[in-house]
Amino acid sequence: MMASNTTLGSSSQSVADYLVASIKPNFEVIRERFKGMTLHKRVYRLFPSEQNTTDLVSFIRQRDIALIHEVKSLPEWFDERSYVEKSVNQISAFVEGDRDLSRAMKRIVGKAGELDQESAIGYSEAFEILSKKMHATYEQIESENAFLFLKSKMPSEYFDLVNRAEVLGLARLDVIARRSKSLESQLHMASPRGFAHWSRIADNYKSEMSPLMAAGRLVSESVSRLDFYVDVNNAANIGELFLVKPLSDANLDKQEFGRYLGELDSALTTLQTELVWQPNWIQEPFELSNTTMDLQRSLANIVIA
Amino acid sequence: MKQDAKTLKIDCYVTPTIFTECTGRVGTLYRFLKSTILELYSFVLREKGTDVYSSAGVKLEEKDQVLIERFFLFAVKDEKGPFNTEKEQLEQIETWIIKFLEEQRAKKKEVLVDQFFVQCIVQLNRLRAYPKNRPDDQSVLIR
Repeated sequence: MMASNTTLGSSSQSVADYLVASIKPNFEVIRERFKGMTLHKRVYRLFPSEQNTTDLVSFIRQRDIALIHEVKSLPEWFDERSYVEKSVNQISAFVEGDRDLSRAMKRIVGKAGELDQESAIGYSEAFEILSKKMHATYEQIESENAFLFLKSKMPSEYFDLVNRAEVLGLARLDVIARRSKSLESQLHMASPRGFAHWSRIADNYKSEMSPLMAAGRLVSESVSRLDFYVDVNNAANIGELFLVKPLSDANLDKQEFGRYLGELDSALTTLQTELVWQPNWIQEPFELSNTTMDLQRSLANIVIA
Repeated sequence: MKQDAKTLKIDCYVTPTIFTECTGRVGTLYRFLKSTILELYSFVLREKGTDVYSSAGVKLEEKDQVLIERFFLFAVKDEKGPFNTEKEQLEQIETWIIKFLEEQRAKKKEVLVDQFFVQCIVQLNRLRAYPKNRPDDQSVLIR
């Protein structure tokens, strides 16, 4: 067993889910003191002010509790509270470990009185950072998945689906990062007084991205549920959770495992369908060695023969 | 076809049925490749007197190329491939593995068994593309 970085990918996705769930474009009336007078100012916010928001920790906690309650077969040693704390600590360490991401997150939520454009910049920055982080850690994640494939006694389908989820999850973050950048510049160009225009820009963004965001969220939930189910049933105690370890389907309930695989497969198909409609989806081919490119050409001939 | 479309700068179309058939075949071939690599990995470790649970630090040396060749010698005789062209496919995989090993050895001083096979699986996973085509397209544009 070795220390895991498999949570790197899922941490990025979790933070992305949180950001996506938090964006709620709306008008707000804020009070400002000016030369002894109280002025009421109407502002358009991408994120609701403090009293209406859920913080990242609460979001992760709620999601984990819901996920645990959905899974039927859990080992006797499993303790819900310890698991949720461990999961929350990992995500918090992930955000706090990156100064830029941490700063961008603070610019977004719960900053009452701050101009909305600030939150648009923070939002766009956060997605750009998450996307870069995912790209930077992708090689490590795919090596860990390959390592697990070799060491585990699990159906090949499981690893195929996990790989597909990583690739499409990365594409989803890239698309949102690109579109958020254009949202930021559109809001920057619009006059702060033109509420109708601001509202249209943000609503367009929300309606364009909503199906993709919903499909991405479904994939995140399905992957988290599958990962949790497999991980918890292949660990002997709480200390073995979140570690890269050989997996076996002997410890799993075939019906339940099959159901989670099916749910993930269907969620991935939906996400892929949403992605193909996105003009911002640019498929950059992964780097292949020269010999693998030769193999690709030879096999292509076999496939179409 | 992709290469021709790119080189000649022309749009190439195939019907959705052909596209679905090819996607299915690629999936079958991809699973066959991965299961062959998995078998080869176990075979190499067994021949080197170890197993998947205690293979950390085991080196893949130049002389071990014979093991790979021996595996394919038996595999070609026994294995059933997915398209009745098993011999051809296994020969392609063997050639790739040997060349890939040479490539890795040229990059690093020593190649570990685990590390090498992890890289093989990573490369195969990267071969698997997720097509960017709309399901309701009448014909599929190859880009």
